[in-house]
Amino acid sequence: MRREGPVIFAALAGLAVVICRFFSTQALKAVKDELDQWYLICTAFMVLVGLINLTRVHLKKVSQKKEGWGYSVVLLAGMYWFVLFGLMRGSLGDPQYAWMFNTFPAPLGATMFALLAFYIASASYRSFRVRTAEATVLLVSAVLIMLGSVPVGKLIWSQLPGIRDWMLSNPNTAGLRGIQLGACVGGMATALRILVGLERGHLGGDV
Amino acid sequence: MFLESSALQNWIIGLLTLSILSIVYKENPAYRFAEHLFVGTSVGYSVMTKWYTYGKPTIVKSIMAEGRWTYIIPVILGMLIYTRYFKSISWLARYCIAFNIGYGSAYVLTNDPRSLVLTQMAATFKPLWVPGNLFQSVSNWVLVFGVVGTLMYFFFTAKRTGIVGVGANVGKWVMMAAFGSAFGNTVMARVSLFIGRMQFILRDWVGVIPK
Amino acid sequence: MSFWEKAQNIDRRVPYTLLIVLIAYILIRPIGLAVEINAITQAAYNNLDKVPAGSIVWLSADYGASSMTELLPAQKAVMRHAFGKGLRVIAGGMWDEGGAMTDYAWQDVRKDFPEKKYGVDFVNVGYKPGGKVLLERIVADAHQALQGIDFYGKSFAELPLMSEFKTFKDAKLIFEFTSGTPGEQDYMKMVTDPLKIPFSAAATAVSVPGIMPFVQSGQMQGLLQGMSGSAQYEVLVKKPGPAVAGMDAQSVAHLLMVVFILIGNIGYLSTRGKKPQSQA
Repeated sequence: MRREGPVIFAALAGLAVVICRFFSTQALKAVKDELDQWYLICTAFMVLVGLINLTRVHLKKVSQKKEGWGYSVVLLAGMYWFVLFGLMRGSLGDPQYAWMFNTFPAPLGATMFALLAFYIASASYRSFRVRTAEATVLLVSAVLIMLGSVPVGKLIWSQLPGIRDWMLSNPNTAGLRGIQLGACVGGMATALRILVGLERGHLGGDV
Repeated sequence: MFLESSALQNWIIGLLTLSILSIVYKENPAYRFAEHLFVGTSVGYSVMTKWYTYGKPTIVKSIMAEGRWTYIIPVILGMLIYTRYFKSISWLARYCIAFNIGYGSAYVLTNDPRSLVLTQMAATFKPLWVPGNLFQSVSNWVLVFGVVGTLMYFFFTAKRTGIVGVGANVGKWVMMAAFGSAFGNTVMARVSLFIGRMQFILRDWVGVIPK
Repeated sequence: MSFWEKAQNIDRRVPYTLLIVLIAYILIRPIGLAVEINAITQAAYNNLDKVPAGSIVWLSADYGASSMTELLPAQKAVMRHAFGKGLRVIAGGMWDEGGAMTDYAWQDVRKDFPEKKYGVDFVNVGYKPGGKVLLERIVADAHQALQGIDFYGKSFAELPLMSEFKTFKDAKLIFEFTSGTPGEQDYMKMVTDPLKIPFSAAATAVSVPGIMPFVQSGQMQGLLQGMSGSAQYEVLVKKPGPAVAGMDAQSVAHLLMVVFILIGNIGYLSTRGKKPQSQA
């Protein structure tokens, strides 16, 4: 029940999908539709994991008055405020709840990711060195793409935008298609291993 | 009502934006405050989205109003994930994960091949000679042999000699060009995000750029 | 320390400050460089342009606030294009914040189209969980898959447009705004390839290289590439906005990056093989 049960359960869940794909009858279609809906519902009800984990970690920090516990209070207050206020307002589209979203998590999220501009500027300048011929090709390709993607590129050389489009459509497509084909076949192999019970890492512990 | 004031909203957003950007100079309490506020409010919002889009309609509408009692099973299955917090029954959480992973894996197995493998492979078979268009012919050579070479690069069980060696070498150069494209686009994406924040600060908050 | 050794080790705050100052300056005093339309953006525009008036198109907002700068202008421009052509739009999404992003876009675009009514010409279904399984369910039974309620909590029964949308087969085109997974691959696998529905997308620049193989194969007809693509679409719908406004700053920032990369590499090549005069 504890070890083999989940493995068999995963296999059965997957087998249901596979059987419904290969045999299309009305009865099987109804089963598949029902199971699809079960999957969506199951996913939705797992939502509290992040909230519980954060609560446990940060409540412990606050109760033990560890360094930075004040920030943990901010985190917990923000989290539960959004949950409680959302429950009070009744829908995501409520204007006041939308105001809260547009004022706090949305711009904060946008700004957190905006920091990456600085890190990539620093990384480009400090680490991007033409130590090998391969690195040189990488650098030249990157510079052509960077300049060809913006209006100033056409001022520097009128062919730059065209070169950029060609590079994206040909060598970039070739390289990434090869990688994606390999990744896809690897993904299919892993999926098959999960369905036959050879892959159990996702179940954790001593399964 | 105060919540409708865009001036107040802009000031709050502006101060929080500067708090986050202050990390560029050095770590400071304002940044840590804003960072923790971001994590908390994002998770809170995420919980609400799932509740209102699926959790509440499933219980109120599907189960209670429409009588689809079979939906209680996935509700219970989803709730099993929370048994991981109780050591004696934490093994029950594996059933929830098993269902999701097993179901998702079957989708990968049955849906990925057509779109991600077969169609992509078919699109690689381009004519190596296009009459009257040398440029297109060369481009097709780059595409076809680039894909083949990239795949051959990952033949780790074959010796890198002869045709495999040549193919792997071609693949290596093509991948370098591809990674360079990826890097160039990554720079573009990151810079765009910062430009967006600067537009907010200068246009909506400080008002030196017209809307 | 020689000049080129110093050039490789400039304090990181120098490029940071230059980046901030130059971007701010150009935003305040734009140069006005022309935004050129490339073939791939034009293809996306043409794909939507040829959908007959009155048809339903499905927009998928699969991004969050972190990609807002690149994709929100594209979503607004596409919605303007669709409304201008008399199309009816249903917007959904597989990302948490997708519904909020669509609401953002709708609140702005509706000012230019006061005759467009919510529920008749436009519905924001919002985010629903499940990724590719959700898409398969929408193909089979959209109302049940979407739980019969929209982003604002309204029942589909109150929204006349939804009575005409029972499955993805009722949409004449799908336009996705994607920034990762779940995203365009799920649409291709579950919807557009099997049902042969026309499909275009706007993607964050970082996703573009990985999506190009699908544009080349014809599985996706047109792609808006990052903020540049959004700017091009704004020009095509004749409503320049924040994306166009940001392109001058983007140009300057890219030039700055290239200059710093070149300085670092010229310094590296000049000092390579020489004994270091000081520690790195």
